[in-house]
Amino acid sequence: MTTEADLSELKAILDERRVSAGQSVRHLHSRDESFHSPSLPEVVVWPRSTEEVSRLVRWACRKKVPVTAWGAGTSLEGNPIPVRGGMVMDFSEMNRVLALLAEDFQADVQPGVVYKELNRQLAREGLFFPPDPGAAATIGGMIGNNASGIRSVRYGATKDYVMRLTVVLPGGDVIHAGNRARKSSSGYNLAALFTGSEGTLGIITEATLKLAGLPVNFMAVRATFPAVRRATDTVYAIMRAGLSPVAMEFLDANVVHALNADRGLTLEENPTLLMEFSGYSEQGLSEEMSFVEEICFAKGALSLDRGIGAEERARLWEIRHQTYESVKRCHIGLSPLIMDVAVPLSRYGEMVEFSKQEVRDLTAYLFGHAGDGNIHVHVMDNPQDPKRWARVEEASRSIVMKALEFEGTCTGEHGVGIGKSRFMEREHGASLILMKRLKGLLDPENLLNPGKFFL
Amino acid sequence: MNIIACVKQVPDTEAQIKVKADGSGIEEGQIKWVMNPYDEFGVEEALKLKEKNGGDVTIVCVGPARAMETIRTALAMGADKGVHICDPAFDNADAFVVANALAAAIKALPHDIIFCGQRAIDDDSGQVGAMLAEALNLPQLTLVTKLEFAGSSVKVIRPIEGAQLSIETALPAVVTCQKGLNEPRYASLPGIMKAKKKPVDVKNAAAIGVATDAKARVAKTVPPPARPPGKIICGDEPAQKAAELGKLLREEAKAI
Repeated sequence: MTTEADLSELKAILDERRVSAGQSVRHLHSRDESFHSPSLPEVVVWPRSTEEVSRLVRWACRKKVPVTAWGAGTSLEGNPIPVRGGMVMDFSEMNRVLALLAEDFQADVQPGVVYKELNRQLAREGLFFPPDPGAAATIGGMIGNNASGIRSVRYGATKDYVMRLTVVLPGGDVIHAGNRARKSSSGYNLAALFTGSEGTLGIITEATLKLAGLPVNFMAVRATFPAVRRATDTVYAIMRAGLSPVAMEFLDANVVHALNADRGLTLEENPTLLMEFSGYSEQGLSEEMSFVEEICFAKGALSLDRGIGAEERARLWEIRHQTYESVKRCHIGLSPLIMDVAVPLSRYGEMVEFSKQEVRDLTAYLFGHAGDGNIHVHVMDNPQDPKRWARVEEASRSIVMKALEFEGTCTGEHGVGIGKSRFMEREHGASLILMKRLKGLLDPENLLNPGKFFL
Repeated sequence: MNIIACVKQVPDTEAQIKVKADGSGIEEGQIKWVMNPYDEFGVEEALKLKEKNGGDVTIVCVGPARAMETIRTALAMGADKGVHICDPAFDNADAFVVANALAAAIKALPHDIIFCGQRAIDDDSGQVGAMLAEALNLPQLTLVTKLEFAGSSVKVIRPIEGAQLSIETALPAVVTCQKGLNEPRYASLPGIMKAKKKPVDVKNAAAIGVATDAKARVAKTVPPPARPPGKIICGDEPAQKAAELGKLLREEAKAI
């Protein structure tokens, strides 16, 4: 338990206003967007520098207090829930873009920057940070989770954009991992080790991110199909045709139904593919569009809508950005369990069909980053009803097992957090032992985000 | 079609503004300068008109040497050429001087439609567009949120309280742009590269032949008064704290 004396010590490290054990503050840092049960931290702190984080971690390790880093709480797998209480370190006051090196396609940022705000600033230089999980996520959270999103099929995940990290290790020591070079063969890739570690190995306090040039022009296609398999086969055909979509999303018929119901739209309620391409010239995109159209109709598309230019892209894609919220609003009072498996492209159709079959008796929505072989099965139910929730968990388990059978992964982008730790052994086998040893080496007292990854 | 878009360079909305110790203006050293966001709507609408109907877009800007960056940004977005009215004599220009300078430069150019932001976010005066229309003796369509072009005329929508006003006028005309008109594009890297080679005509006050005597004079610049500190209601019982909050909102803040 954090005592009054502890609070005074923390207030001496930061200041009066950046340490709180108030009830509402603790509540706000007890849950993320997932269904996982909230767990209250004992104290919340708001550091403003690497130096302060280092002193806080040093203090916590001396006192054996667990430390969990907190970005925006938009995660979907309980990743930052402080299951062992202790200290939550909220990075909302470390939210500055420290340097923009436009010529080098790099930015130095603090972990509390929301990526959409970063992109707003970068757009003036014709640049952007491509991973886009959709929610108002922070860079720290995205690195912690190795987040990705709809554009990962072209641009990759957060790990592909992390060049250098400043990390506070358990004990309080500070290291800088990585460099500014666009390539390096020098030593173990420690920046990559911390990326996706969900704050279990160290606390990231600064990152040098790689940036990309904003595309000149866009082309978008929305196609509907008579059956799920027709849509997923089209994904495969388009990827195999050598086309390079920026985004390639699958929405099942009932997802379109939820969008129609929530937003008063009149879209055809069939399995749907949304595609985005980008390029330099309208002419090139127009040729690409004809090819995509040909493939879609050859695979049995029922209808197709398409266009070139930023406005057309916004028109055709608007629904995708609303999917998560629309599904939620159609089932007020229920919680989502979101499966996030990813499989090799050639298995995607089978995976989607299998998943659909597994959740046939549940309120479930299937959509996903089809071009990445990533499928989200979004089940809405009540975690307080043990019988029903056991059924949801059972479906989740069999879907993950099938993905692992296909040599895929239990989580494409949401992270392990609380919900996926039960699959780690099955997915990683002996590698999990090495992961545990790494964790033990860096954090022998198990104080950084304890209770995650390992059962 | 000859389309003009007027732009102003202003401090970034994120910039921390510090007033000079002697009250003569603001400290400019640390400021990041950007295109006035309302002018971005004007540039975007100009580019959309050009894309649909052909023609070219000329950017006109009154401002110090650094304002060239903002002209280049507009050129990188897709405008064709620029006119930069740059003269230390304009350092203390008011809306009247700026509008007359813009008018003088625009008179020398073929023009079918002229876009301005409805106001600039630095001084918030909102007068230049209207004064420019007067100086050019052209119709003015202000605070526009929708624009339809029909050959020799335009039809626009402007919001009024609780309703919308639809106005139609023959061209040429001056249009001032309001949020909602469009979603401004960004400058892509190839666009930024190409913008470096586009022509920008730099002219001083003598070259365009306008007076630089301002009608308004800034007496002093002062920061807004410091806000009084907030009140924190302490206690462990949420219900008790809520009751206290209600009481304070009613009795002290008189908000409810």
